[in-house]
Amino acid sequence: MTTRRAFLRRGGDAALLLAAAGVVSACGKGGEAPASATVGGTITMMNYPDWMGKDEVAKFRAAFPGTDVKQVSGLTSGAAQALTQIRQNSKSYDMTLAGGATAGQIQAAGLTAKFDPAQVPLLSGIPEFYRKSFPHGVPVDIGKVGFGYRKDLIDERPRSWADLWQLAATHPGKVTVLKYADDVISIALLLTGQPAGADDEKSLAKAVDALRELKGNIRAFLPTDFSKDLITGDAVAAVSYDYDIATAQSKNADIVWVAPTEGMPGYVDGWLPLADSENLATVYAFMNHHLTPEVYGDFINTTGSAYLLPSAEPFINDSIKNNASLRLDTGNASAVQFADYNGPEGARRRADAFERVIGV
Amino acid sequence: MTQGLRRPADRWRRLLLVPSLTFTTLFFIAPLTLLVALSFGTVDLLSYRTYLGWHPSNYLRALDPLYLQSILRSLAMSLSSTLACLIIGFPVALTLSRLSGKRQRVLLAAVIVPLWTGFVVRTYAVVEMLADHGPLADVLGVLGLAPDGLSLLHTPAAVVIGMVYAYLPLMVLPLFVALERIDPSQLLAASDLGAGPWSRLRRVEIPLAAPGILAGCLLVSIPMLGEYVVPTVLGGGKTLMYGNVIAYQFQEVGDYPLGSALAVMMTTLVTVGLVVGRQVSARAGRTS
Repeated sequence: MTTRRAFLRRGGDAALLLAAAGVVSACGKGGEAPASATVGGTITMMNYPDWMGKDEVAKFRAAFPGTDVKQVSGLTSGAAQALTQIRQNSKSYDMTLAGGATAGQIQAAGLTAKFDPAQVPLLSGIPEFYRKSFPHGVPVDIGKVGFGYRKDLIDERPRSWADLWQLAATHPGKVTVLKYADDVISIALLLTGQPAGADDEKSLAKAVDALRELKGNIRAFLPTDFSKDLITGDAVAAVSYDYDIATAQSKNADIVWVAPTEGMPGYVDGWLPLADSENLATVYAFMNHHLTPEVYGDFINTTGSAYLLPSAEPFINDSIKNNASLRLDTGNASAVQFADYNGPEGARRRADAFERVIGV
Repeated sequence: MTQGLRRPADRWRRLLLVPSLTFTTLFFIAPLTLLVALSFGTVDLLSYRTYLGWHPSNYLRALDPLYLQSILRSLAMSLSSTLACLIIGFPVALTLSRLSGKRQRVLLAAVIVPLWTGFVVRTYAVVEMLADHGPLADVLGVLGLAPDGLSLLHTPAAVVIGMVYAYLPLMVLPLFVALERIDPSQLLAASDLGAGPWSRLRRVEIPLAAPGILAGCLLVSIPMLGEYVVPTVLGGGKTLMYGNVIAYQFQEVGDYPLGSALAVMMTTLVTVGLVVGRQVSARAGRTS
């Protein structure tokens, strides 16, 4: 008897073979060389640390003997670091992960190869909403910035960014905020009634004022371990990513996720092929492999992020599938404003605005 | 004939300089030159490519009150941390210098051993120590001094504590060397002339240890001025020192020219401070 899981696995394998065939023919040398000669060798991917399925690379090596994926850590300090790292290693990097805004800038800077969706047949399994939100490559996960609070430590039941500002004032030194310039500026813009992506001086000045007020009351801007203090109770609320709060909830059941009523900054992460790669066939094969339901399920279970591929649901842990903080209703996604790249001047003004907050 | 014999030996001696000269040129002079050159350059904020040129505007931007304020903050925190290192380190060094044999070796090892651990690891150890409900809070709680736990982490005080902890051995070691070099007969003479322990310390030992005090203060205050790790880990992103401001330009904004101009300004400030300090101490030495 064929179970749904086995059926999906077999379907995934078949899709993988189809993808390999597609890659071979797309290279124009399909008739001249066998698939193994086209898809092979080691590709290098810039990635968040540990942002990969536990067995994902091993399974790719098994599916395509002679291939390997070397991951290099990056993308932890924003677009400037990411672009510089790619440019300095353009001859050796084949692909990268990037959020929408960073991906847009990498593309505008001419560092990406033109993405050909036809080379990734399994891409069709990703709903159109996400494909449109990330046109630069293969969308792999989404996230949004909200906050979590400890219902056992405070009487308030915050629902908005304004409530969070109030909470920080009434519980000084007990609220933490992630330290990622663009997201922090975005939440302050939403608080002050402006679009999360605004980059004009007037809007940013209001955001800076709001953040300076918040800074006086918070415990810390945290570059890592955003929810650690929330779990221990040293903080009563933490501004963080949905996947991070979801993980924190699994460690402390008293943590409540809040999707603020003013809206949330969001991002779609995706994989991009890079311009100077000499092994795009393997890059595309790996992208397609990633979208195999079982492999994608492994990726989501490892990272704990929100998933985009409905066919992978049988392989995704219930704790992730049933977590309210990770859900996004694509039919009513206006509450989440996805980051996009609006040009160098705007990005600079936003970076300068955050510096005016933390530098005083 | 004698000259002829000396020449090859001189040549060999000069050859011995090659490794150190090469190293200094590659890893000190060249990066510093690049830093100065970049500080007059421009950046394309789309691709983050940097172009060399002549644009003093980076220095005008570096004079923004935001950056000047962070210099003043760094100076204040560096000076207070150096002073704390001196106050804590001097008695330690004095005790060490008065011991001998195995006891001295064991205590000296206790000062040095923390340096074997990575700087970042040591800084994170302080995080655990200063945590709201960490060991320090527990001890203070038992003593009734902090019944509701500590609120020290992510404050300027935490940054100062972290810097003192991290740099203390660098203060103790030169102090110890200076104090140990004092001829015991001078201390004996001071006692014979009626000086008590306090008077002997104040009028004999501290003045004789002055070069060690100066060396220790320089060794800890200069790296503290540009400190990046401690304020990042312990300051909670709210207490930015000049090193963090420079790092922000390089890592987040991608403006290498402005970051370089800020770094050159700090280097110049420290160099001028050192030259002035040296002249003042030389003048003081001549008058005494």
